[in-house]
Amino acid sequence: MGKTYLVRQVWERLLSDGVTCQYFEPATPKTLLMAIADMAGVDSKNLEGRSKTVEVLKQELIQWFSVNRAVLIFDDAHYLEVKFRLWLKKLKDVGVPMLLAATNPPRTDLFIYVPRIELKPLAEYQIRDLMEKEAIALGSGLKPNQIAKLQSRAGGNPMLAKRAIEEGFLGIQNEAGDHGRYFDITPLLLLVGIVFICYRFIGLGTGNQSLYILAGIGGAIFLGVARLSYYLPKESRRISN
Amino acid sequence: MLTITHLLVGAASVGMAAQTTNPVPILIGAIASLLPDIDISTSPAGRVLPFISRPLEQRFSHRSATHSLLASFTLALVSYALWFAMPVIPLVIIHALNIGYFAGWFLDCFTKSGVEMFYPLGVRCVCPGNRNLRISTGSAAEYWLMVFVVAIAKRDKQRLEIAKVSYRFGEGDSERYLAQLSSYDRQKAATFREWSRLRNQVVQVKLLVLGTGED
Repeated sequence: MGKTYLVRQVWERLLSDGVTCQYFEPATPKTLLMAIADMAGVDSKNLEGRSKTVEVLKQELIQWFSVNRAVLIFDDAHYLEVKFRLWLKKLKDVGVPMLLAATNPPRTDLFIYVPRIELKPLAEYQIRDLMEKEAIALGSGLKPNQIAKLQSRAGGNPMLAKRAIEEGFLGIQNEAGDHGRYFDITPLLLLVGIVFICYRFIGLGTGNQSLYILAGIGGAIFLGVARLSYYLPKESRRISN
Repeated sequence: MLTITHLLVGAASVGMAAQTTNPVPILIGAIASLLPDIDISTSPAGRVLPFISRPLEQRFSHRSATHSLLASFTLALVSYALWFAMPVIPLVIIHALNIGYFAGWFLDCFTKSGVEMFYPLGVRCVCPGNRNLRISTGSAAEYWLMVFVVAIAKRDKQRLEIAKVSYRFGEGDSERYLAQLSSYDRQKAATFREWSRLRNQVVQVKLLVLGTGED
């Protein structure tokens, strides 16, 4: 279960329980304010028929929420503008219940004030189950060995798992995944170099010249490669090959 | 990674780590390097042992449980226990099995998808961090890696053969052998230089005969 799925389920459940609530996806502050105003029944136009300014609308909404109760649900809240998030914090101070779903949110402004639930990556069997269902739904005819290969791209993320199945269905060859569960072991090369240097000293101490020479060469190679690895270009955060 | 790359790296690792030139453990190491891929039924190991690969591929993602320190540790525990119970199996075979298996999955750290080295933690270990610098299966980089491994393994094999002969006859040492190897390399370089010089001269003669040369 991913965050979008979770918040949508919460939203549907609240609606079915008759609670006033609204689900929002990232948009401009003005668009979001208009949507909240629509939900609250606050008129977004003044007596002259012109749209109210953002500041006026914000004040009126705070007044409305101080009297009425409604739940606000924001998906991908990390994409909301900082100023808008600070206004949401004011709403929270008034007592408005809100649910924010975000990926790697900053430890500042609104996010620091709301109680946090961290969604852990799904277990392998859950991801496999999801992928198999998706493969059947698409009618892809993917075999278990193909799904096993595609699963390595999911990293416990249901959205990526579904995307991997779609890519497999379309026949797109892509070995690396977009999840963040990769761990660079390049610094281990340094450790291997250190082990070689230790052997070099053993060779020196025991008078074993061949061990001394080979361990020295090994140490030089691995420490050199480890040093070289610092100068390798870092991975771009953009999608590219 | 291609099967041939796994075989070469497995064999070279056993040769160097177990300090042996005996073809039996090297062959065992090469075959053992294919074993981690048993989590896929289309791999060579998976096709040979479908009754193991099919349940594994139903349950685990590729390069996860079988490509981990846990799997290596389990194999070591079982194989050394077996050797302890039945000492008729040469110890070098057990070493070769474990070294080959480890080399087989560790090599996949250099691929784009990486391996779950610390299974069941779920993080995929890769080297280097930049995916664009990692090796794609069947790419030119993989063939270069093969050439590099063969070169290292060949050189090491020669060194060990001579060291073994010297040891048997109770004479000679590594320094002398390495010096011989260096002189052999120098000889090869000198031969190549001479060949190159002669080739240039032949080209110049051809140009003169055809009358297209400047001289």
